[in-house]
Amino acid sequence: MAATLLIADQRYRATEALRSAISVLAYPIQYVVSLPVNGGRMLMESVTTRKEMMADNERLRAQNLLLKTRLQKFAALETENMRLRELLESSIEVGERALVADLLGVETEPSSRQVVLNKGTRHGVYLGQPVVDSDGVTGQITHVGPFTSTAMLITNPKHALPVQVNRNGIRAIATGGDGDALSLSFVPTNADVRVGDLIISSGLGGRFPAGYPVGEVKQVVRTPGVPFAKVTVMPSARLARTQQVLLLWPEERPRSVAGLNRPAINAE
Amino acid sequence: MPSTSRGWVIAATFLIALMLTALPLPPWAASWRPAWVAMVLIYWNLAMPERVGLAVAFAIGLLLDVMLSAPMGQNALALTTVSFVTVANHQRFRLYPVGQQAIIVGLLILLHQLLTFLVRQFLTLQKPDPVSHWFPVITSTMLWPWLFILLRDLRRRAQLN
Repeated sequence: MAATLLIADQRYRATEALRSAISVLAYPIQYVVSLPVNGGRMLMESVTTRKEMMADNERLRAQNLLLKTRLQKFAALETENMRLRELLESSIEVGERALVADLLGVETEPSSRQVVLNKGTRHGVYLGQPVVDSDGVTGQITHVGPFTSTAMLITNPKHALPVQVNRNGIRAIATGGDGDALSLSFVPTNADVRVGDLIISSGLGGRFPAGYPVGEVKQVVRTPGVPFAKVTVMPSARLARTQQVLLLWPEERPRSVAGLNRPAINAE
Repeated sequence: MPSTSRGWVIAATFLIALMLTALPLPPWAASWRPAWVAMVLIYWNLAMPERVGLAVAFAIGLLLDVMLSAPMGQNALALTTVSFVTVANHQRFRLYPVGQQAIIVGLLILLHQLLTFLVRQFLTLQKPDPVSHWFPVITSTMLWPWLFILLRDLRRRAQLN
């Protein structure tokens, strides 16, 4: 019976409903276990000294100012980009609805590169939903329960992500591997990929929105006689240390940023 | 069923075992984590096989699978098999002194780890670590005498027979 389930799960993904139902039972356990972990973090936060807080505040304010300034520029650029694309009669979506999710401090299978999030179908989370953090693409949702969901990290060997080189738009597939790095598949040996190139999501495949940073090229090995180069990419998302992630809804426009002037695209 | 009302004691021990399994540990310690759920299951299989049998093993295994986001059925298969061997031999195992019992439990945990190893080796892309996957066998064997005494006292105090 268990063996049947195993095969059903691996081959046909038929057990998702069962898994979702049982995850309701597992949630209290996971919640209780994550309490001391999250509580410890809160305690650490509440005992930071006033001086540290002020320094932190100062730093964040400076960062905020910097980001705001850049955002102003981006808003102008976005409108300009839209207008140009309008002229070319193609349109891209800029911005998606997003939701912040906390990681539950619980263990999963050893070395399985998965994380458990505290948002589920009750919050609108769906299978295959992209997950990002402040620095780049983190992974995608693989199991959803009513209260929790499990996300597979991009370094998981099962995970493949359509990407492109930011500098020149060369497309490839980034797959997880054994270590903490990603590798690019299907990069021709003569392709112009250099160490230090920024890799971003390409939006092909329709699951991940385009333009999110994925990582930086760390190593390029070209072997004569082999049609594809071996490219290693370090993920830019802080996969191992992150506490909060963003869940994205690529099809939905953000509600909060609707006030940004986007004249041409809304006019039609 | 004279002791049905005390069934929550059994449930509570399983709950604690599940929590210990989900508790995050630093990576070096996580690979030494004893197979808590399997050990508690073996204890109740030995003590009262008519109450905690294969069905319980299967249900707990499924819960564990979901909790750990493992392939559905991996732990259910391993725990049910371990439970089957234990229940089939419970009268013999029960008579052994605690030290000898620990070795038997070690072998059962070895069977448990072997099954999970095979499942993950051949059904998933995440290959288990060939060395550290077997560490829980050692820690579980060493912890068994203490766990046994603890659970036995608990069972006697709760008057479960």
